[in-house]
Amino acid sequence: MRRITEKRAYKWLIGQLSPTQNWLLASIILGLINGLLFLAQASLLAKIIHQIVMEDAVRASLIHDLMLTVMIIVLRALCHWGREITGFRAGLVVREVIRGAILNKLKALGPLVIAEQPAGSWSTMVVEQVEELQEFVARYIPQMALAVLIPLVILIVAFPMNWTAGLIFLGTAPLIPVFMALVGIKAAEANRRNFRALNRLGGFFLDRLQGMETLRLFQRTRHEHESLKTASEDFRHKTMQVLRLAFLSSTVLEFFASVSIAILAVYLGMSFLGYLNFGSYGAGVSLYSGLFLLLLAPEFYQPLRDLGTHYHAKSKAVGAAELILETLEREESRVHQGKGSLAMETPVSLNAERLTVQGSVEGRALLKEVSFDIATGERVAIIGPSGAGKSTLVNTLMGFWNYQGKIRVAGEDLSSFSMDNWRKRIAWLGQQPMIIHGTVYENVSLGRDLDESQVNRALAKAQAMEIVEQLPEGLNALLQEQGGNLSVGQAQRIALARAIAEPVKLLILDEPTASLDAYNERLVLDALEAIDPECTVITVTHRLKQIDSMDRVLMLENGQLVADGEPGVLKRESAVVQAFVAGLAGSLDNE
Amino acid sequence: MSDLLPYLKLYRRHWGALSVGMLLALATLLFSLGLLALSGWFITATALAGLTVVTAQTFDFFSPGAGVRGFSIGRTAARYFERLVSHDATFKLLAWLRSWFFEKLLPLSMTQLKRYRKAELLNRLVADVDALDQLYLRLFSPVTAAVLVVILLSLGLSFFSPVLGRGAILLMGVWLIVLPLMFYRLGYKSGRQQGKLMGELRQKVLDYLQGMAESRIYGSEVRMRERTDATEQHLHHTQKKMSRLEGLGGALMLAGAGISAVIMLYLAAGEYQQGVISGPVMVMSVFAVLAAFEALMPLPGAFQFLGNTQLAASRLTEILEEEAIEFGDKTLPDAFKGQIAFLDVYFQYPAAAVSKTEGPMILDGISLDIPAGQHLALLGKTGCGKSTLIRILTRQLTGFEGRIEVGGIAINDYSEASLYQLLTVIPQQTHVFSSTLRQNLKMARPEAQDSELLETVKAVGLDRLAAAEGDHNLLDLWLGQGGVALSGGEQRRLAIARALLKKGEVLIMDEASEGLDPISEDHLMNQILDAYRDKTVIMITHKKAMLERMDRVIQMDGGRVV
Repeated sequence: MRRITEKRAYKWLIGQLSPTQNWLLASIILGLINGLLFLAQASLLAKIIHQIVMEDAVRASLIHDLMLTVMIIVLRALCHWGREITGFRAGLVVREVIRGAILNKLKALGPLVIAEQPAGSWSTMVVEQVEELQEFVARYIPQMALAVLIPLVILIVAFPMNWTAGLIFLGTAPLIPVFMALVGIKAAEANRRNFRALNRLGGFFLDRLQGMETLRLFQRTRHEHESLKTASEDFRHKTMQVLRLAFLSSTVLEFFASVSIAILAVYLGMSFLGYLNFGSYGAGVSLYSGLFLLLLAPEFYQPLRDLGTHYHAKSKAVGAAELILETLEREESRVHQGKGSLAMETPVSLNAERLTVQGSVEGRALLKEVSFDIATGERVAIIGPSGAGKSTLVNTLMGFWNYQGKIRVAGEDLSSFSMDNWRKRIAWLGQQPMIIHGTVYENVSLGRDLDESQVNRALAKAQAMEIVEQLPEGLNALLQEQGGNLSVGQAQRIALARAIAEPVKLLILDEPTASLDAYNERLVLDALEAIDPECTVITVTHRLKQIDSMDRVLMLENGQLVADGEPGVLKRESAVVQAFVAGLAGSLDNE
Repeated sequence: MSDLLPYLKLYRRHWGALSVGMLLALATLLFSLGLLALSGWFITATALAGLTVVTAQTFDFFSPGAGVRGFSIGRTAARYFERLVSHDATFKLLAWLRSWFFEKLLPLSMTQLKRYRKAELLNRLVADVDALDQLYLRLFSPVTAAVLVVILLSLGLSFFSPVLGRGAILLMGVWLIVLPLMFYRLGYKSGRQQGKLMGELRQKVLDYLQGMAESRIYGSEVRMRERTDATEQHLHHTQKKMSRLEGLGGALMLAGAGISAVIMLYLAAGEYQQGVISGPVMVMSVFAVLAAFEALMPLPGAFQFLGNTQLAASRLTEILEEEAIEFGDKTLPDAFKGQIAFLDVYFQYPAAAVSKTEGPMILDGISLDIPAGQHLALLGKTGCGKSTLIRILTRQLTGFEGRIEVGGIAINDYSEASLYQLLTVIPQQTHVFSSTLRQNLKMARPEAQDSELLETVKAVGLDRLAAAEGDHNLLDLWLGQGGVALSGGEQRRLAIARALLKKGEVLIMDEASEGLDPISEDHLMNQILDAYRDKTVIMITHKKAMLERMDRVIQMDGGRVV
């Protein structure tokens, strides 16, 4: 996997902005209008004061100008509101697009790749990391444009009025790119350090919370409590050292903003008093122009200062983008499939010829030239030590792995079928029951159009009716996973109901009773006994009793098929099976 | 607000640093206000003085000029130190909050905390704790600064004219009181809903991803995706509401600042024309009000999200109010023998909130005598109660009925230190701390020397890790997050190494050899049983080979010994 650099992540992020151009543009334009209206407001205020102080205008005669000022202010407020809304919409579009892209990518990568990492890490990316992009798009990007545009507008207005004031602004203006870089590099560095320190500290805290039970058993809680304190202190010291320097860069900006007001005020005062006599093209400075320029001064630097405060949004977004991009650029392997479909009632017989599956680590085959035949309605056990390729085999049959060689279903090539169609003929039950956050009904139907009676029938067949009867809301009761209102055994029976809710021709079971207690195991096995005899059943199992009740046993070892035959025969004649079975008998689960 | 009170009280400990931070924030605002107001005064005063040559020449421009420069330097310095101090205080506060919370969690029973073991929930817990420190930066400090600015400005203005003083406090006071209340109310519902929907989206995404194989098989992947998308839309809808509010808050502030300045100008013009104040003071008061609104700017946002912070606080309170384990004060008797006795022990989980039915009896009258030095194997199917029995013995679960004695003393009477000094546990799941291998081992025996640690590492076969990581000191190897991830077997070895180092009086193993290959299993079990030869050992196992080494085998089923 390629490491995603910060630069590339930033570039990619900027590239993601195109679908939201219009919202961004609207946000920038509204910000600019707000800036222009501010000029009008400042000009009106200066004019009113000038008239009162210098021309002794009566208060009543100024009502018109005062009302006009209020109107402009209301317009500015509306612009501000609009800017906020359009900015938000811009971020929303980007988040929607990127979240969709990640989910599509995960879909393309498929369930096997997803299972490689804890599901929580994926959901953090899809939910939290994508949220981190919001502020960056909504605030930082428009502000970047405004930080250039608004000072420019102010310069254009200030120069014709008083070139000295213009120069005072301009004198610091060439520094703006420098500030941008300073705010950019230094503040970024500060932010990064700040966040890294906070994250590390958070990680430390989380780790100790997770291990609290262990800490208690070893009587180390007091000690770790102390080290939590020292670690925090340590982080604080180190981070503050960096921040002390880094804050200086933004202080420079602050300094120029303050000093330019001071210089401007002194310059104007001295001009009024006649000590200075330049800048106003010989016309002399009026109180109006003096006050107007003074009001502009803080506004000249404000956009840049705002940019600085949004900077953390950028570093967060780039950090998130690095992770997102890493996922989006993962290679996906597509399973070859055709358009053919298998008729509903066709019984499923399977034939594999020199079936080979390559793992994600290059050069390592998960299955090596495996060939076998499975007849319609046959009950087949797949056995073998862990890592032998049992799960790979069933996953390949379900169309989740790319393979070489041939798989034939009812005599026809599997790759000629559309996988969606083929999977409709299969039901599957895994070792760990999958329970979604929803009602019993939703869990059994899993998005299929099943009516209540179908769901009830499935629950009855799966011996799961008693679970539903215990719940006051019946089918509409919300199910909660581990530690909630379901035990693993109960959850597995619900999952079984899901698997047998619709008639299928091939049932694949991957250690369905491995995590169940005796009672639930019996219920699940009883339910499986009652499956339609025409349905082919493939079971991955470690339980001796289950192996003995099968028609056929396939044994895998290191990805190769090492035994194939009736359980009774194999137990008598195959040395590998004998050794394996002896190992199983050593586990007390098989008694 | 009562949700937040206990947490606000916590700030008292840091009042020193926090009030310095707030004072500096206030100083920054006042300097900034002073700079603009004084500049306005100065320009107007010089403009008036410049009208005649005499007044122009006698005008003292040194003091106001110095004032303007002083304010500008003062503002810069105050801002710099304010940032330093407030960041420092935040770090301190955060560290303190976490350590305080950690301390509060310690005595709680793991029964209740079990539901927080999932990483996602723990993450939320950490986020909730962090939300509390935002209270200071986002709420406490700005509100205090704003109130003080408004009061000081009004007092200052009434020095020149009572009308202007009253005007300022009225204009700004309304904004100061109305906006926070309004935004607290407006943001309350959506803010909470936003938090809830975020959790729901996370859940739906998890469902979609974890269930992808199944939904693909049942042809319902598209439907499952639609479920996620619908929740996302719902979340976005709520966020839209919140962002509209945020925009409204900013807009109202902006309008408030402008309109207040216009009204101040109108009032000041009246005072000026009546001769109460001079022209420069009129300009000064208008500019001061305009600048003072900078102090009010952060308020709507802060109050809009207050509802969320309250929610975090109430969730934390809920945890903290849970039942604590009470330990006794008995210490180990001198002639301690590790015999263990269970007398009529019953246990069931408390009624679940959802199904409203009490859980089944997990332990249904267990009576068991284990003489000192006996090695006992505990067998039984998943769910027969054997792990529960052990968790009760180690007091990780509370609330059993009956009596359990170790060395003739009821386990509830032992002090925490004594109980865990005598029990050594190899749990089903090993927690690897993100720390060095040395620290991960030393927790079992803090005074252990490196040589002893290395010996143990070799004994359990963890020295293989060195090959992967080169020559540097194996004990410095960083494990866990950000370091070497240990495989299941290696985690077992680490747990066994810890038990070898600790050597308590009683050893308890819960499927300690799971995930190990048969040869290492044999080797490791020999070692640990050898080290604990004269001690009492209770071992849960699924392996037949283990039974031959034990003195006694107990089979459990349905919460009973059979």
